[in-house]
Amino acid sequence: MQHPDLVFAYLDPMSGSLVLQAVVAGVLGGIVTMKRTGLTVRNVVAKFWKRLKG
Amino acid sequence: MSADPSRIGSSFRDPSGYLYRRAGVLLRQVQERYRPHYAHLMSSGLYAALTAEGLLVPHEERPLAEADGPGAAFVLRPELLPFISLPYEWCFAQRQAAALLTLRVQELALAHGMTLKDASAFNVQFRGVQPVLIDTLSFERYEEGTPWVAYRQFCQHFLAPLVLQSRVDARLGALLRQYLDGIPLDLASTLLPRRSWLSPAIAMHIHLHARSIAQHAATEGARAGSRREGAGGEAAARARVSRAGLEGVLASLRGAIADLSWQAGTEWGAYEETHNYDAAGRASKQGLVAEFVRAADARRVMDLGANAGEYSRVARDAGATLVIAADGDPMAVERGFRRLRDGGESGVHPLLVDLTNPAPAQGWNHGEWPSLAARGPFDAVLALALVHHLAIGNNVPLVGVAQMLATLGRHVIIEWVPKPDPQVQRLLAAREDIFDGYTEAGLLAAFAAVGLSPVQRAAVGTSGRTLFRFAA
Repeated sequence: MQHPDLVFAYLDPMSGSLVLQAVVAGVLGGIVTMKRTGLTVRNVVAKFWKRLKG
Repeated sequence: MSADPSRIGSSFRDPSGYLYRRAGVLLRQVQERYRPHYAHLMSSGLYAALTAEGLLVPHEERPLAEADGPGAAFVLRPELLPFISLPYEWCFAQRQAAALLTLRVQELALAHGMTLKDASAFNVQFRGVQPVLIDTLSFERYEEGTPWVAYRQFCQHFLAPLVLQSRVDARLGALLRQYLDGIPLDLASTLLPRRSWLSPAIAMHIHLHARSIAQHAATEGARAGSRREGAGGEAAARARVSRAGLEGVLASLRGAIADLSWQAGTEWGAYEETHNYDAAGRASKQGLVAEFVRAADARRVMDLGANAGEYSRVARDAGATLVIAADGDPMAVERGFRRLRDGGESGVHPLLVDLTNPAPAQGWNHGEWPSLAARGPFDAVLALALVHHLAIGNNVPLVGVAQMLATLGRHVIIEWVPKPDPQVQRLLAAREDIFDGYTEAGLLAAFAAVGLSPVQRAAVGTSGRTLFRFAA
């Protein structure tokens, strides 16, 4: 934790849980960001195909 | 942990503060170390937003002179809830509502620069069918990049039991009575069918989560054993979670939980409601129950064997402000909860209770979570068409039944079902009748033995059944 005076986890979050959360958040955060920028997996794929064909 | 008897037994884990009673009033002491978080909760608008939506119990600040011990920064007086239910007494839809409440609270907290530092199901209570967070000290200031420290607890307390109840068997909610910190994720992973791996959310939040915990525990154990430095989990210390990532995790949990349904594959309509009365008989019974509840002037009522709560509503409409609709059949409680929620009704709190084995005093030193009996007595306890189930279905002597009912309520309202009744005959169909004492005279003697006399009685239509009200 970066600011021990501000953040104190009184429960043991368990290392394996934190590591998994970071990985899962990496994937899911990407989806959140894509949605926010109006992108969907489908139109990313579509753009990719267009580029390939064009 | 203080040995102070005024302290609430479950309030010792979090050093931010604790609950205690002072002159019979429930108060919360906030410790100096929690001051910046509490100040932020109040000044950021989060407290106002949460209480406006009814998501957090409101409180008032009290003078520091009312503090219980050293280190107090604030003293709070939280709004008192009329009844405390425990997560192992909830049906599926109650747990689902409590889980979605927790996620909604976390979402609002993030929007105000805070995060939930715990996600215990015991921090949620119900006002009727509305879930509400009762722990004002669950928030801490959010630091961009930090993971959600309550993620594992949320998965254990909410996601794992809900997924097990939905995908395997609704009765698995009972595991929470043993696992007070939620169902261990490795156990949940073992119990779930293989095809549950096909759900990305279950695969991530339960199966892979369980494996990651086991893998890191093993590595750290080995390191600690070989006395190498850095056993505290270097990888964990490096774990960074962006704001978008955290929102993604929350959205995934919310979607997974909202999509779960009561025992997928079970036909809801296949569960028929059984009535032992025709329309006129039901109307007569409803009228009598209302009359008896009014005569008892009962405000807090415990309806035992309530099924989906038909007569709990009658008691409420007869003036009770809180009726606990307790039943041992998870599907009956589920149906009762949904009906109340969908109808926007209040005043009735469904509760899953196996009367042959009600919730005991639980947790550390038997002092964290009270037994069902310790949460009484109620002004009145209703036991409509219940005594024969206990006396004949479970071989409890009538005096034992009277004792239990007298512990729970000052007035006891009973619908007595005599032996010739088809419902009693059904219980006796495949067994020897060893119940010579199961007579009206036996019932009256049993109540006399626990100090209660019949103060009101009436025949229920032409059914042969009798409604009694017993009081001291």
